[in-house]
Amino acid sequence: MNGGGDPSWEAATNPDISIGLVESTEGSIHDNGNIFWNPSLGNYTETGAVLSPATVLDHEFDHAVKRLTNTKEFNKNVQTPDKDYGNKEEKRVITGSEQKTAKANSEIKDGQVTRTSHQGTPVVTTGVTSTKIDVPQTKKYHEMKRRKVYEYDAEPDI
Amino acid sequence: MNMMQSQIYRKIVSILPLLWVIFMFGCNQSQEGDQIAKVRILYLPENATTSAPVLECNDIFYYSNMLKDTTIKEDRFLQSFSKELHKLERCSEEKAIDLRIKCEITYKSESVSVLCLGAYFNTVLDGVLVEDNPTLLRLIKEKIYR
Repeated sequence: MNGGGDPSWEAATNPDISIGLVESTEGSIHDNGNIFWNPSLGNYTETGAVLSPATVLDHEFDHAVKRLTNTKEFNKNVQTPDKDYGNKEEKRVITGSEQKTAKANSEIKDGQVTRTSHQGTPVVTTGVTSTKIDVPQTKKYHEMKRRKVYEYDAEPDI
Repeated sequence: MNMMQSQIYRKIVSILPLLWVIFMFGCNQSQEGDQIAKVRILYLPENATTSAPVLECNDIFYYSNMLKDTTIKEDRFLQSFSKELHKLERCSEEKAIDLRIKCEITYKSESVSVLCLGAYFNTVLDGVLVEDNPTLLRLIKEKIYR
């Protein structure tokens, strides 16, 4: 342990909670205690910081842990709009564990913050704990994203 | 250029602005007078959190594991939706974008408009940022997150 990663530690050691974690080739997302995580995808932010995929996972673990340990507060936070962070839950995680974990992982310098909003651009990094952007792979990722076509079998009517 | 040709040229030039106004008016009329046949809504779960914002409407397809899809043809909903849709006005300020809902609006004339919305803020109609309409957002959310 390097002093960061509290949400990941909680997710791994708290016997009262169970979080679904699925490796994905798409964007990292959490819903209802389940996480789809892309281990290649970091986040390039407006402060010039690059968050590694590992820090991104820790960010999503924080949401999932909160959702499972204090559902009432999680729901209240996520449904409270915030102009900069989108909602209060994002603000809680970004200004809280994200800073601590990114600092411990040497992804931000002293006095630097990861971001002051929910903004950021997904980037492919050279490894799961790396902050080095793999430029060709990042271009490929964004091209793939543009080409993505959502297919469905039927359109259910209401 | 002889005098006759010159006069014809001047007449054409003078009616061009009028033709442009008629053309633009016609375009608006066809969109506003057109009734909505159905609205297909593609959306992320209500309380889903993403590590990065969803900057473009089609980016929601890159969360296909959690993407939901429904089509609404119910008259009462379509009427309320249409009423609120026509209230949307262009937004002049720049905003941070984070989208969650994509509405593909099919008119009876078969023309299609695309409306994109964030969880609380951000409304984009056919690629143009417009002022948020809380009533429209609430109407859609009540339908998909009920």
